[in-house]
Amino acid sequence: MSKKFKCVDCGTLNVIDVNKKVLVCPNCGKKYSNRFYEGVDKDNVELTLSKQEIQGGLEFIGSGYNPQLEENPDPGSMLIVRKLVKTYPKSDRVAVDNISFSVRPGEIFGFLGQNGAGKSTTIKCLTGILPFDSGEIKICGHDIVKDPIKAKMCMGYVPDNHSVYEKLTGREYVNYVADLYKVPTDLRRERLDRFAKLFKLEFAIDRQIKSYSHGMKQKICIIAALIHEPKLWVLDEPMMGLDPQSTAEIIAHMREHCANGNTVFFSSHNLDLVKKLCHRVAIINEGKIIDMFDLAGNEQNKANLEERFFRLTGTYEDRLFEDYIAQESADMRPAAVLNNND
Amino acid sequence: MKREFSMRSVHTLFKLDLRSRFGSAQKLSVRQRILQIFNYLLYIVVYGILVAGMYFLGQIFVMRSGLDVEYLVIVTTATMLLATIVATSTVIKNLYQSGDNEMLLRFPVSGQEILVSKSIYCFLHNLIVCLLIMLPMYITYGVVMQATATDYVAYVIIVLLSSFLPFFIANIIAVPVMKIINAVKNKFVLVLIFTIIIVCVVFIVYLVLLGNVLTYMKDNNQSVFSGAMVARYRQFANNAYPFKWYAEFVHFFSVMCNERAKDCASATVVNQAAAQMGLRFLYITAINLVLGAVAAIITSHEYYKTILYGIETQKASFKKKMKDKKRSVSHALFKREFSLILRSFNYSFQYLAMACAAPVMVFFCNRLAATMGTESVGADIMPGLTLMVIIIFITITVSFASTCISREGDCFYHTKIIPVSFTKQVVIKFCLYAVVATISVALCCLLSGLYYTSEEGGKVLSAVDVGAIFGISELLVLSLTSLSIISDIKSPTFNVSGDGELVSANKNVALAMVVGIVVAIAYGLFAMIFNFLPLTIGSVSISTPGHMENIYLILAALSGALLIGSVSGLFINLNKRYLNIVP
Repeated sequence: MSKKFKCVDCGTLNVIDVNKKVLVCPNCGKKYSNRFYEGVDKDNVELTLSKQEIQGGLEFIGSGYNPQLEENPDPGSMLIVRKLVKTYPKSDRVAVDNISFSVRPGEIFGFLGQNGAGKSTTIKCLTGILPFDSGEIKICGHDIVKDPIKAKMCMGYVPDNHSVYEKLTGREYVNYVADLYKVPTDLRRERLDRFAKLFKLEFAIDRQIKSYSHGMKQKICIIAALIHEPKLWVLDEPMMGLDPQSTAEIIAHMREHCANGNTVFFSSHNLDLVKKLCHRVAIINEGKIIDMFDLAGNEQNKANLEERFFRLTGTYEDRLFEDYIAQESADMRPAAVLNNND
Repeated sequence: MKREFSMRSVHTLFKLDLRSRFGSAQKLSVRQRILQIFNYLLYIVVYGILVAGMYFLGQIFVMRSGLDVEYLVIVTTATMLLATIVATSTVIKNLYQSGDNEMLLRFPVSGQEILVSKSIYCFLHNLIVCLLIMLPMYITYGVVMQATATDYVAYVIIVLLSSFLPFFIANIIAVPVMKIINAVKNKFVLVLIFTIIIVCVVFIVYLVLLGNVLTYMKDNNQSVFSGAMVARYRQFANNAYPFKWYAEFVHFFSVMCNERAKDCASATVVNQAAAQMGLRFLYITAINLVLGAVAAIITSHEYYKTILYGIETQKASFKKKMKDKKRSVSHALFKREFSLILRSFNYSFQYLAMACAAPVMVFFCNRLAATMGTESVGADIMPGLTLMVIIIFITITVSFASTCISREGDCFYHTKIIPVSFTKQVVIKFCLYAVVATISVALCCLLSGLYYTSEEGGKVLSAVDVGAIFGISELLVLSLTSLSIISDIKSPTFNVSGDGELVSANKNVALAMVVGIVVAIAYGLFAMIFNFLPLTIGSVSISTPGHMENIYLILAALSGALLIGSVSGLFINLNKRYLNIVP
């Protein structure tokens, strides 16, 4: 199926086969994703990008992600994922489809994607929770399949559902984890006290976890994940359900953790947080990494993160995006309510 | 919260309740359907056996002793007590501990409406239980008494009347029971000790009663119907208020109808019977009205408060300060597993209470079996019998291991991310179950050994017997534990409730129980039979009667082979199988 298409760069009117995943302007070579206008036009009429879309700077797709490059990362990387493929039993859908990336020491790496895109599956594969069909995962140089114990020793994981042994007390749980990671008595005591104070859990640490609130469970998971000071800290949507103070503490701790040469790998739906916190991000969609780019020191990428995410994941709609941007800054209280209050 | 009471809301809530319980029919595969039919058949067979037992009991009492009214009073009392226990459990589960209470309170319905809608379900449940328990009892009684059609009508009426009392008592009892449950929350050891005592007492009472019945059946010397015993039955029947009214209602109804049917019917007898029957009916109605009113007042007054308290204390927990100090990985894993079992009433009952009660249960079971068995077939059956009984109790204890993976529930991911090999984690679980079961078996053997090797116990066991029984049982403890864990690794079910506990025992438990009981029967029969008969293969004599050494060697060899097979099955290729478990 062909459509008329006007390139935003050179202005040439082209006829392009939209069945191709990547559209290239025959005149200037600029790449477009066919997702950009999927659903926008069904009638084979001339498509031109709106002014706002041009301003979004979406002249390329996936240009930041080079699979060949990611398949040969720096051996010193804290996390190397190479050609990872994961299919769930009794499912014909490939949950993670041949993805490769690496995370360097001292880096906070954001992993973005819509619900069901493959973020959690990837995280579960790299933490050893799920077996995978093919590929390779190395944590601090240790293969998660061949040398799982050493690999897991270097890693701390905070799950998205905050499941913990609720019949244990907070201190029992953290001590249990510390025992498994062989943390010496004096170190664990110092760290536990510090973290309990940091996350305002001193008064609850000796109570059974079942009495904890959602956020407190999340905090105890975080403390348990940090008790052995892992080189790689993996967090699956860590800020969900946390109070603002704890969110701030975690962000501060993530930064401190990385400043000490360690690495944080986390998935999130909070684009604003990712924008402020991450050195690099990868966007995963339908099991494939479709983009990866630097945020640290790249103001344009930071500014365009939301729009880029919306467009690349195929969810871009003018109205929705405008709403999203408006919500970021505007006063959202309905006028009627304000009037009534007046 | 809406204050007014609306039957429309009650109707909607009741419909919602029924739909949530029975609304979703699962699509079953052919295999599942066959299993389901098999299960139903099994229930029917078990129920049939119970009904046959009732008939047999009725015959003993009524035909041989003539204690027909006393029998009716005793069984009415027993069945109504049983119905009350079931009803109390139903009321507590559905009214007070139901998971949807919190959700329902968010709807615009009053506490009274929720109470009434749930009470309707509880009453219907209670009615079905009463019909299932009491109707066969009355029907078998009628068959024994050669009752007329009108008698059977009376039976149906009395069963329907009987369904109110357990329900009302249950509603009254449920409130203090809930208060006690709330009070003992987190007192795990206390509850465990109490549970062990209750289990032992109930079991001992059951076996003593069974022993008496069997003694009667065996030599027919009517020890259960001696003059003193008959007087006791009569005394009990005379004082068993209010249950005796139900039995007497049936009795006088029968007398009245039978007398009327006679050609030379005595008007006095008929009138007296009718008056007595009417009086009993009045008593029954009065007590039901009183208890019903008390139940309604207490429940309507306490229900809303109790469920609110339950919701508020749902997260009630204990505080415990422990030292931050380094322990070995094995110690940490062991401690965590044990703590999680101990801190769950369900798990500690299934596992620790059964393991602790097993020695007492084995001893009394053995005593009964020994009395009956040795008197009829001789003392030689004792080693085989002891072995069989011990293996049955081992089976109950170690079947708990078949939920060791499933019990991880939502925390299963934790076993995958920790830097401890899967093999080590499984070894620790295996050791925990094996250690507790081993201690239990050792105590079983010690207790039975001390008694039955003594003069008092009739020296029906020798030290060699006890040692061999312990050795074989221990091999089976390890084998059955391995098999149980294998089954759970193969097909775990992470179906946990809000507090992280398994919702119900999975199919692996049933499988482990079946395997264990088959092994127990096979081993027991083998040992019993070949202590009487010579065992020869061709012309080679393996064992002669009265010499158990070779029998023990054969059983030990079999158990050893089973152990090697099961342990190999558990640990070979374990990593791959464990990694493939996906909740």
